[in-house]
Amino acid sequence: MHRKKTYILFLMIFFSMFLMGCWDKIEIEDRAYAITIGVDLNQDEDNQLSITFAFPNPSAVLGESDEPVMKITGAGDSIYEVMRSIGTRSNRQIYLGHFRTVLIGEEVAKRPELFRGVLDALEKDPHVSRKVNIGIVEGTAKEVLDIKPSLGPDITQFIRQIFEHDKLINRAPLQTLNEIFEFMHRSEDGLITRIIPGATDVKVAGAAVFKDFEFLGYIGEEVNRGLMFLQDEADIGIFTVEHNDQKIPIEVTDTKTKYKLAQTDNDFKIIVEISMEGDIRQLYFDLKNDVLETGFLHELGSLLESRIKANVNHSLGVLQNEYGVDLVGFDEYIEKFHPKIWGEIKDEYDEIFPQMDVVIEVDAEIRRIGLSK
Amino acid sequence: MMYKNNDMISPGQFAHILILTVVGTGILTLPRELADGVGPDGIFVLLLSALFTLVAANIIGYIIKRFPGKGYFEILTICFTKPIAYIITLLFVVYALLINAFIIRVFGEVIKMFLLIKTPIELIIFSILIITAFLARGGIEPLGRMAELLFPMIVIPALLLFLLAAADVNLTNLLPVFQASPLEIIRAVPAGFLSFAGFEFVLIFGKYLNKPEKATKAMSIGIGVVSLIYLIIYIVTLGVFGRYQMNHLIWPTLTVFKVISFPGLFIDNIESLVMVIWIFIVFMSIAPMHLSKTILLGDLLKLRERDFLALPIVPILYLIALIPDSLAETYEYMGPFSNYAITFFSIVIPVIILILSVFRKNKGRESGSNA
Repeated sequence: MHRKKTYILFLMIFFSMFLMGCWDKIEIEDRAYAITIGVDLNQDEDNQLSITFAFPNPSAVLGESDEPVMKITGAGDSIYEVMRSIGTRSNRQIYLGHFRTVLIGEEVAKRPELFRGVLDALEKDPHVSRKVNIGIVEGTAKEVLDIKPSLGPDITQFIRQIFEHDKLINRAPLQTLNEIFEFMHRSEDGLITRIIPGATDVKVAGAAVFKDFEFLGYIGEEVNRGLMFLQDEADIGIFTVEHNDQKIPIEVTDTKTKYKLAQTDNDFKIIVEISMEGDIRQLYFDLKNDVLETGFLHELGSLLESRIKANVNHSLGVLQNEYGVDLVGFDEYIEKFHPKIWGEIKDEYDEIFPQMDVVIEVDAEIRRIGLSK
Repeated sequence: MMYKNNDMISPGQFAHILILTVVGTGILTLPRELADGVGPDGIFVLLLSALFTLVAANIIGYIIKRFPGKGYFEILTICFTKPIAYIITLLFVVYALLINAFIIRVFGEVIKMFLLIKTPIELIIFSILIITAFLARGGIEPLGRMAELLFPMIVIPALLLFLLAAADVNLTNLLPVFQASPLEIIRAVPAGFLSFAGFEFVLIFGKYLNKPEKATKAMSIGIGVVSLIYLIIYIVTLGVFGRYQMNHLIWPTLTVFKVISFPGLFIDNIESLVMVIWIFIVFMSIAPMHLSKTILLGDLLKLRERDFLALPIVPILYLIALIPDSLAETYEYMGPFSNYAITFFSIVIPVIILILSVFRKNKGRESGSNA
């Protein structure tokens, strides 16, 4: 009995040896959870990139410090090189497992070799989530991270929340990494959110246009709004129509976009059908004529239709004539639903797109008029 | 403890072992390989390979039925002659060693990349080998029970995770279909068939089946479940990534979990959860292979007690697994080898056995033997 106990004790000690050697043990307080990464161009020849990591300051959470965000900037040729070199002058290790936003400075976006390097680093890393948002900063990323927002929390949270809320505004495309990768792997073109730094806030407006990974320029908010309708990404938005010299804001909801392809002898055209509902938000106080009249609502409806049609047509014109890049995804639509036609045109699609015949059809119904007549 | 040493498994356990052996590492690259050449038509490749596997699996099931209580070596001895049986069994052992080492290497690479960045891969490989050897040492019965036990622990959380990922599925990514010619699809079937490799190992376990007459049914159910799992994985993965992005991903099935995020929660990296499931999958995929090697070696060496053989295989596997310099080389070595070896052991040999057994049986009836 006694011997058996000794034996068991020996076994326990022996096997506990296998429990040690945890190479990868990192205590949670030794890790710096980078929330935002800023990628800028460095003027130095050797180190092309200047990377800024921003992470929440734990002592600010405890009320011991006023600085809610900590930032470290380092120079190097890649995100990882900088991550390692920063390790030599930081007491904590940078960890990318929880990071949410990557901001790319305009100058980096203009150099395809650097830009593609950054994208690939994000795709390769096993810790980076594919829900990360990405933005091209008009200016430098560091500039954005230095902003102290007057409303709301620290800048890292601020940017993250903008990406979450802005779905309601339709002013900028808000794709995740996964969506951008999917689009760019397919066509090598792409659209990435533009971020404009302000004095005490940051604005997400419009988007940067890429063709074959070359940065071509920006599209503005209005163009982007039309584009969102084309892509069936549009959500709630306010459009103002003019009726008898009176500006009437209409809230557009339930938009739906469908593509159709009409084939003629040796040509084809794409018909984009956009349907939506609208709510009148404001008319005129103590209006004498009756709003609850179908004729009036139809009139407003057709005004809204032409307003949106103009918007969408303008956006399409910019894409077709100014940039010549299909950022709507018509190529994807043709490939998936009309593979035969795609087989014929895919090689010269870049030339075909600017001349492609696209017909926009908008169908708007005014459904609700608020509480007053 | 009640049935200890009775060394028998039920058809249910048999099916569980089959499923878990087949769902091994192939699952990681499956969606990319299916969609590689033929794009979204890969779904037909998958269905065709599943059908093909079903036929091959039923041949094996039929052989088990035909030779109840006979081991692989005995069946080979009956059908061929003893020297040929020795050669084939030895080849099978080598084949099992290589495929096992390959799975372990890929497993090590995945764990190192996602979970244990600084831990030496040698240690990761060694630890999984030790526990598989432990299970293999116990014989077929613990394996069958383990398979039954782990199956729900693997499938339920995995399905839940795929359900979460399904929120990002864009079903139009499954289009266009019917673009590849039938010839192209048929040409892609062997690659799809490889993801079903592993079912040939159950032929070795047929001996321990307590109701051999149910072998074909168990095989069919097993392969059916595997096909269903593969179909779900394929649709979700292709739906999330689209064919062009998927071609750039080494392990699409693992990357698909990166799109999962719980809104408002801090938990958005569920890699560690995925890795837990993945460790179970690999463990249950290599344990049967390990056991089959012990059984075959025991047969070759005519040993009565062969459990001790489980441990000496470990260092051999360990060394083979570490031969390739990189992940790319691992897949490169494995490619041509698996093409021929898997076809040989899962189709050619069973078909020959089937033909010969029909032939021999008639002869056997004449001489009155019950072989």
